Amino acid sequence: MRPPIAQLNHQCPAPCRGAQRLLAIAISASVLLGLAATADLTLRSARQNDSANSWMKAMTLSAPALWPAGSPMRHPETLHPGVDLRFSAGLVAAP
Amino acid sequence: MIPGFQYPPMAIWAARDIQRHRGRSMLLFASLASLVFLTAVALLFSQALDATWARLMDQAPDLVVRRIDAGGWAPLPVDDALACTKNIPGVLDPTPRLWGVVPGPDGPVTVVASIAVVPGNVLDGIPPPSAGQAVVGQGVARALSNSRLSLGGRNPATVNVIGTFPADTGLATHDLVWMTPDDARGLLGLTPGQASDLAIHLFRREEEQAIQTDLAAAFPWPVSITDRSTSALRHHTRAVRSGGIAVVAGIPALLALLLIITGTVVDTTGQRSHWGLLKSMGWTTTDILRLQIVQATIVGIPAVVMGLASAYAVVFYPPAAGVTAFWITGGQHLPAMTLVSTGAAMTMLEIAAMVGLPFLAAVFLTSLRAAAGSPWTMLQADPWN
Repeated sequence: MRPPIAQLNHQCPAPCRGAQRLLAIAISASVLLGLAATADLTLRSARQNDSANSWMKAMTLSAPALWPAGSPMRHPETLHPGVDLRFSAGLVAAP
Repeated sequence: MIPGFQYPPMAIWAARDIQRHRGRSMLLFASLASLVFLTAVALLFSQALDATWARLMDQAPDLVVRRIDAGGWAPLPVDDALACTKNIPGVLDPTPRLWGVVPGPDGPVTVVASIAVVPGNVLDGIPPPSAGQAVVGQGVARALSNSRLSLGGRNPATVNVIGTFPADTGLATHDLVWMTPDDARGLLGLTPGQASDLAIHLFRREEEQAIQTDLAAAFPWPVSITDRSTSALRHHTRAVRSGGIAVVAGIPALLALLLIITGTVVDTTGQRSHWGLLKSMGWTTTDILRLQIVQATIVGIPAVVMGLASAYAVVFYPPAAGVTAFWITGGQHLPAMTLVSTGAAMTMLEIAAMVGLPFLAAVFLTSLRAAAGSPWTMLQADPWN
């Protein structure tokens, strides 16, 4: 009985060199990209936005500066159903 | 080619098969990589945005007390307010805040003044402002033509800009104008001894809701109390909503997956007669299945890794990250963001499994169905027969 094809282990003939190259590229590209992403995740994730966090704490800010100044998302403490922001102290001249 | 390494014959055979169908394999690679990229960009961005906001909001005060009267927000007498909070258990470090929104040269800006001294390690070389001076965020600095900054408000003022907050602090300082307490009071129309509101930190954050009743009762005037967790929840909701774009991006992505699977099925059906030939020469059904799986793996794994790596790069590395943020949020105001990569690994693994496993399952099942027949029946499937 002949062994299954997967168990045959002989030297690759010359026409298979391209296939070997393709395999090498596929394996090395996957491993390199995977390692690069893992290294970056490990090295960078520990100290992200430290400066922004420090200033947020030093100025006791209530929200990050991702929205325009004067908007309720930027200043959540100004949001109140009974207060019209157009006439509030400090916001008097805001658009 | 890796020197000294002997590839399994089945892998060589699969690679040869891929080379025989070069165009189809490249199309499959591109489709898989694009599918992973589109899904991963939306999900990674949503996850990173949520993590970034959560970390920033963690620095915010637990409670903010603002005085309110019939005319709206009213200034808070500092000494009285501090005396009121003195005997409330659980209240730590009540800090009067001086801040307000005033018109700047290019839209509204946030004026802040720190009553306490800013630590040297936070300043990192930035000179604290003196009277008539200000330090501004990148968003304000961009609108300046010289070092003079004119601000509106109750009492309009012009200050001399002596410094700019570094770009990496933009998440907190983008629209800030930092000035002395006296300058800020003058600009905002506050008298000495008044503050905009009172920031409070708690001994136990879990008491955030419970302590609000005690606080409101302790002040002799009506107050409005805002808690940190409500704001954090609002930000979380926004991040999740932006992740909803993943669903929108997911519809064409799922269609692409359907096309890939259909393509795989058609490809398998077309190869039946070829497999019949292999089986008549001694190959088993298992050999053919293994060949198909190895072939799918050789194309699929690099495609998934490439898609994930590209998505990771455009989400986490400026300036591509800024473009991605602009694209996903629809042009919302966002300073240059450096996104936190916590949880990104888990998201990437989930996406790899979400795309890779159905793909491999489709290859396995369609190959099994096509390769399970007798060699003679399979040879008859040749369209030229």
